[in-house]
Formats: sequence, C-alpha cells, structure tokens
Amino acid sequence: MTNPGEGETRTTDMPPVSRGRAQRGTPAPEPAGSDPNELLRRVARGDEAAFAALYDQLAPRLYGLVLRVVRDPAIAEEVTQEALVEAWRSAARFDQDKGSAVSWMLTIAHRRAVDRVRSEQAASNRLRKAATTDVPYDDVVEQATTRIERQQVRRCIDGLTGLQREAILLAYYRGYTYREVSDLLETPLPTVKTRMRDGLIRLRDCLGVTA
Amino acid sequence: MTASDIHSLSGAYALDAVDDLERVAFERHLRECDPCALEVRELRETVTRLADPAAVDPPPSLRSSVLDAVARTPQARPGRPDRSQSSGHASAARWRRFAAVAVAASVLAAGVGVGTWTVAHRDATDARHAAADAQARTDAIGAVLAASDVQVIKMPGRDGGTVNLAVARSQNKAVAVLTGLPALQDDQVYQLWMIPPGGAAEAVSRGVLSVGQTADTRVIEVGDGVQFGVSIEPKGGSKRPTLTQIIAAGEFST
Repeated sequence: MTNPGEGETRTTDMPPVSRGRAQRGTPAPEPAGSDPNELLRRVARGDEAAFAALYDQLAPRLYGLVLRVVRDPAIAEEVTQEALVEAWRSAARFDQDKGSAVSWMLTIAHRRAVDRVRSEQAASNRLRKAATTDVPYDDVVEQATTRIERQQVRRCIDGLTGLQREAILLAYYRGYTYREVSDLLETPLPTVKTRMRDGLIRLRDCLGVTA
Repeated sequence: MTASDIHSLSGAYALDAVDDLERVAFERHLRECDPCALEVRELRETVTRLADPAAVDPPPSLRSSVLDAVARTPQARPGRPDRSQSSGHASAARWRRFAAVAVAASVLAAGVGVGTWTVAHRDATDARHAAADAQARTDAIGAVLAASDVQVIKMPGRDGGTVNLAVARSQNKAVAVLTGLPALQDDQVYQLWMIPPGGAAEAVSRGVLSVGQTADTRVIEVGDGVQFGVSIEPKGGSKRPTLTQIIAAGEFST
C-alpha cells in the first residue's frame, strides 16, 4: 500500500501533503457511549458489536503502528488481525487500574509486531542488515515528525533532545531493543536507557498525561 | 541486576524495547514497587500517544476478516475460579500469571510455533490434547518465571542467535530459550548442558535438539549447575560437550 505523503516529505515544518488522507487516518473523536474502556468491558462479556465498535475506533492506530514496525502491508495485516483476536480472547483480563483500553490494545499489537520482526532474524543479523542497507533512523524520525497531525504531540516530540527523540522513535516505530538502539546510535547502553526514560517523562509532562 | 538498574529500565519497558526475559524480570520488580508501577502506567499512556501520528487506514477487508475470526474464537476466562476476583491480591496474582503466561506463550510462539492462540483454531479433538500439552508447558514455564528468586542470563550465540536462561533455584528448574541459532549441517545438532562447579568435564546433558532445529524453549533441571551452555554436537548428542563447539555459555549465582 502506498500512502501519499508518507516518506516523500522530509521537512518538519511542511504541512501534511494530503490533508484528506491524513484526516482519515486520524482517530475520530469518540462520541458518548463509545468510551473504549466501556467497550472493552462489554467485549469481555462476549459482546461482538462492542468489539466491532472498538475496531472502528482503533484499527487505524493499531494497523498504522504495526505497519511502521513490520514495514510490509501484508504482514502488518496479519499481525494486526492476530493482535485483535488476542485482545478478543483475553479481554476478560483487561483491568483498567493497570492502564486504559487503548493502551492495553496498542501494547498487544506493538508486542506482536515486535515479536514478529525480532523472530525473523537474529538480532545481530538485523543490526548488520540495518547497517548495510542504510535505512537509518533519520528517516524514521523525520517521517514521524512530518506526519504528526496533532500539533501537541508534534510540539512535544520537537521538545525532546535529539538523542531522546531518536532512541524513543527507533524503539517504538522500528521495534529495536535498547541494546540495538545503543549499537545503532553508538551510544553507551546506560545512556540509551536513561534517555528513553527521561525522554518519555518529558513527553508525558508536555502532553499532560496522567495515569 | 541492581535496583537502580532495573528502575532505569522503565522507559525501555514502556517502549517494548526489552527482550522477553528482561520484561519478566521488570514486571516482577513492578509488583513490589508501587511508584514504579505508577510511572510505567503513565509512560505507557504516553507511548500510546505516539501511535496517533502513525495511524493509517487498514485495507477494508481486514474488518470482516477480523470480525469473522472473532466470531469463531472462544474467549479466555478471567483468572482462576478458586481465587476471589475482588481482592487486590487475587487481581495482582491474575496479572502476574497473565504476564508470565503471555511471555511464555510468545516465547513458545517465537521459538517453536506453538502459541496458545493457534490452539483455538484447530479441530476440537486435536485442540483438547494440544491445549492440555501447551497448557502444561506454559504452566511449567510460568512457574519458573514467576519464582521470587528467578535470575535471567542472556547469552548471545557465538555465530548468531540468542540463548536466554531463566533460573529458579528454589524450584530446581530453569527455562532455556534458544532463538535464531544458525542452521547446522545434517549430521549436527545443538545440545544443552548444565555445568557444575567442577567444570565442563562434569557437564550433564539437558537435552538434544533435533536435526535442523534452531530454536527451542524447554524447562530443564538445574541440579548443581552453576553454568549453562549450548554446544554443537554430532547427531544424537554427546556425553560431554565438545569444548571448541560451545556456542553460548553463562554463569548464574548459587
């Protein structure tokens, strides 16, 4: 699948190339009665209609995230489906005290995507491939920042230091472990761990996220 | 791993930038550290926001395909019936078990292609046996990973791949996870070893992989082992490891 506007634009300050496309990919505002937490609780009781409603709300984020990590649309579709079916199966284990429904489902999808890319090749091979095919992190970072339609998320990512931003986006959008990020960025392991943590804390504060 | 080491993993953990065994170790820490649990919850919600700009509409066919699959898929029950669902302790235990089982299942899926979820799609008859086997295995793995004294040792393979070991000495058990090892010749196999303080001359075999097998997850006995190793041996395995062919080894504390 080709997405107009993805990958071509390189300048952070450019507006999205195709606003219509971008709008469709943006999560819709959630009308009353469709709170994802409530929907997921209904799914836990076997409510398929609630699951369909959750799908409609979350599928673009789930699929888009998985696609970023696995990079192949056919594999992304497969992994997204596996993740959604897993969410259906284990919905009874969702506990809002541990986090929101959106976060719970994205975590399942992200882990599955990451498992997929990590199991395909030994870590060392992936790194070697990354080094030789030169698909560098700048690419990820720039794509991410150009495609951020939500001004707040964009502004907050811009507010990170270069190393914080690279470490976080490489891990989340590419599925690298912090060890791999450390190798890729030629930065000591403890520094990478610390930058991931303090970068996320800065993002949290900037976005005003509370648990 | 020291306490401050493990604290500093919260960012990497929230980003899924840790491997399966680190994840288990960190989740064990989380259960004993309320401020860490709160921090992780907030960082996870923060990470979730990073999915917003990544949103892309999936192919329209995905919707019906997912909804069809869901209509055919039974749902797991919450927790175990013998535990009170309302107490905080039971809820923590449920999460602990879920975490351990989820990891074990993903390790199994990645390692040998037997995830618990694939079981749901099989024939009913097959499924009962397969589910019982998978469940027994998952329980055994989960028990080791949930032990309070679990130690995690990571061993990069000499020629690629990874060997990870979770040791629970209190249970005299360990889980060995071999992934992505290079393929061998037709007359060679990988063999697992527990090595006592006396060294490799006293090593005891803990299993031989099949010809062509390059990944595995198995529960093994620790015995008086203080080191674990994997070597390349002739088909069928050897009595003692071939010292020049040890492709991964690691020590753990007694």
